[in-house]
Amino acid sequence: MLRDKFNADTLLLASYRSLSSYAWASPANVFLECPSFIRSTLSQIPTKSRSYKSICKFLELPTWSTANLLESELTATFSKLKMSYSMWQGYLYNALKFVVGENKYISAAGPKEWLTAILELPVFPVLDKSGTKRYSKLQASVTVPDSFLFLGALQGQLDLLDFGDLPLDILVPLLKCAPHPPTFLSEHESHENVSMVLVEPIISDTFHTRLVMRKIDALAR
Amino acid sequence: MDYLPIIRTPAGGWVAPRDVLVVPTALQYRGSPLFKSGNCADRNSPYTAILLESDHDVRFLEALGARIFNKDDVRAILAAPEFSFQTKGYGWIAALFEYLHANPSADPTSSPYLHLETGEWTAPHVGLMYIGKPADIPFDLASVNISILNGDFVTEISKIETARLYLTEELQIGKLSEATIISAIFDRHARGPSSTDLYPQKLDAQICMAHAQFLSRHHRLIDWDQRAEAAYPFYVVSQDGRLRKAEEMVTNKMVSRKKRMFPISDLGPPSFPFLSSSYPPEVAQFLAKRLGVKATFPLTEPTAPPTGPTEAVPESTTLHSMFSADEGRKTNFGLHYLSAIWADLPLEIRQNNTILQQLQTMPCHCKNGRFVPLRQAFLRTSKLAPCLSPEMDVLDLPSSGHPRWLFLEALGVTTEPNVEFLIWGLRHHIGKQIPRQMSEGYLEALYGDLFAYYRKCYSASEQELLRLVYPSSPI
Repeated sequence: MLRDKFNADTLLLASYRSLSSYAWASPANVFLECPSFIRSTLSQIPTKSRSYKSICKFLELPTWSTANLLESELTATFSKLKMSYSMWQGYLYNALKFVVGENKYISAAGPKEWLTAILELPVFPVLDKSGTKRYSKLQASVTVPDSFLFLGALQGQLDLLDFGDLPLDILVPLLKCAPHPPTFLSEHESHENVSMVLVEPIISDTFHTRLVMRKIDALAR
Repeated sequence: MDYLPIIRTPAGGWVAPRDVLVVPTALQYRGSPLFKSGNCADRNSPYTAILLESDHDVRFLEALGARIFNKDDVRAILAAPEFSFQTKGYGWIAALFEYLHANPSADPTSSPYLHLETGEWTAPHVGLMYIGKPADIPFDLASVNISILNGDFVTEISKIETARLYLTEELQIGKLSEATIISAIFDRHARGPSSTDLYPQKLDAQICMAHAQFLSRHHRLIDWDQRAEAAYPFYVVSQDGRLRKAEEMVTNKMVSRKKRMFPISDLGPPSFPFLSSSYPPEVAQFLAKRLGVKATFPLTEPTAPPTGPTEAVPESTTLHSMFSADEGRKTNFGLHYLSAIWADLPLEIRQNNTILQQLQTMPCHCKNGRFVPLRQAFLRTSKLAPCLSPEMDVLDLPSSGHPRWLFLEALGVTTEPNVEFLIWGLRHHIGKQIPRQMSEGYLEALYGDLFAYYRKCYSASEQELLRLVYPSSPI
């Protein structure tokens, strides 16, 4: 009876964990053991209040399930944060990092259906050739800049997955699970894949040439 | 021969037979004719009345041509409207009855020769007429068209046996019994409260009340089987003084407030058909038990439309309308009424879910001015009072801590800090601003009472059961 009343009247106070904000909710919509990155899913308030914890136990709150809840969490949060590119970058990075951290989701047998659905969401931050920041789903035209060897040379010529300065290597196993995988820059590092031709500079550096010449003269005296 | 003056008069003269009116002994009273000669049918003839000492010579005088005062003369005299019995003594009437006993056909039966205790003179068979009546009849018998003969009149008649027999056997005037009065009362009510040819006196509140008292006192004499077959209405007095059919009325409970007793109807609108509180309790009880006055208003609305006019429940007689009518008055009369009758209701009614559910939705007036369904309201009891706030829907009732209101628990009213109350408290918080910095104290304030209540409510065995059902339950 108590559970029914709580559900009907949204009588449980819960928190958006990463925001430190609170809302009244039905116990069915408040989850235990939520990961720290979440912004749109309500969780039990971390507190020492014995009464609150006991009532939550009595109400038998559901436990967070990445498989069941992550897509809705991402979708809901994207609608709130898409105007803030850098915040969304950080949030999505943490979310993907959390998935990678739970190794069980990435198995040799291939990704689960829910994970595939997430990797198809058009929410990945991309810095395109023209320098514009936009969101896209993962596909071959999006390059993951996971190598610094050519990054400087190719910047401005490719659409790059853009998580700013955050290390991408940790996400690579996950990104490779995408149904339409992006292009990984690191895959071009081997000699087989790279052909290099050394050429002379085409622009004369008169300033430095003069500077060198002066130093040669000085040394010759 | 009839012209020869051969008959000697009482004055000593002589008259012819044709000028003589012979008065037989049966028509003599104290040495005089019962009727004067002028009263004779052949009034234009100057007869000389001859009183016979015996009736032996009647045939002889008649043969001589004398006129004999006969029963046709008597009948004609009695039937004459101008004949006045009021001037005659009771002895004279006794003598008349003595004559009529022997000559019943001489009685036109329309003559007003009966003297009533009211002083009136009346003919037999006009309404119900009786010799004497039971003691302590609390109303005028004329209201049921019963007349009683004057006591002295009856005494005088009874002195002559044949006269008495005429009165009791020929005219069939007997002693009035309670059973006869009961029957007369029901017959009178069956014809409605207005005056009629048969019942010139219309029913009024005083008479109806006295009728009920009489019936109540003599209820053992009532033939209820016959009454059930007749199914006539019986009129009673409502609290507003009007006459209404008993089956439309509801018993008026006496309630006690501040050491004073008064009828429950005093708290309600005058239009409600409460039985007058002037009825003594035993009479009101009799009316409820036997004559169709309802013990209570129907507690639920009729589920099906009435099938006929006789089965229609007047709008003003349901408990639901009692609550609805209160919305303008804000007296919570429905609750006052329920408190007056609740303890007397049979257990199967007090525990009937359909009735309880309907009652729980009745709109009641709260101290904050709102009307809310009963089940959402609070009662200011000593336990709950410290927890109540002005914005809460607290019933507007006098002496709300009195035990007489505790029946409201059964109707969903919150009377102590129970789950409903604690839930209300939580609900109330929803509208308020949540603090930016969450504290343990704030959460304890929100959920502490609820948790403590749940822990307290469950007995050790229930807690064990709860653990089995809800293994993770903290209780």
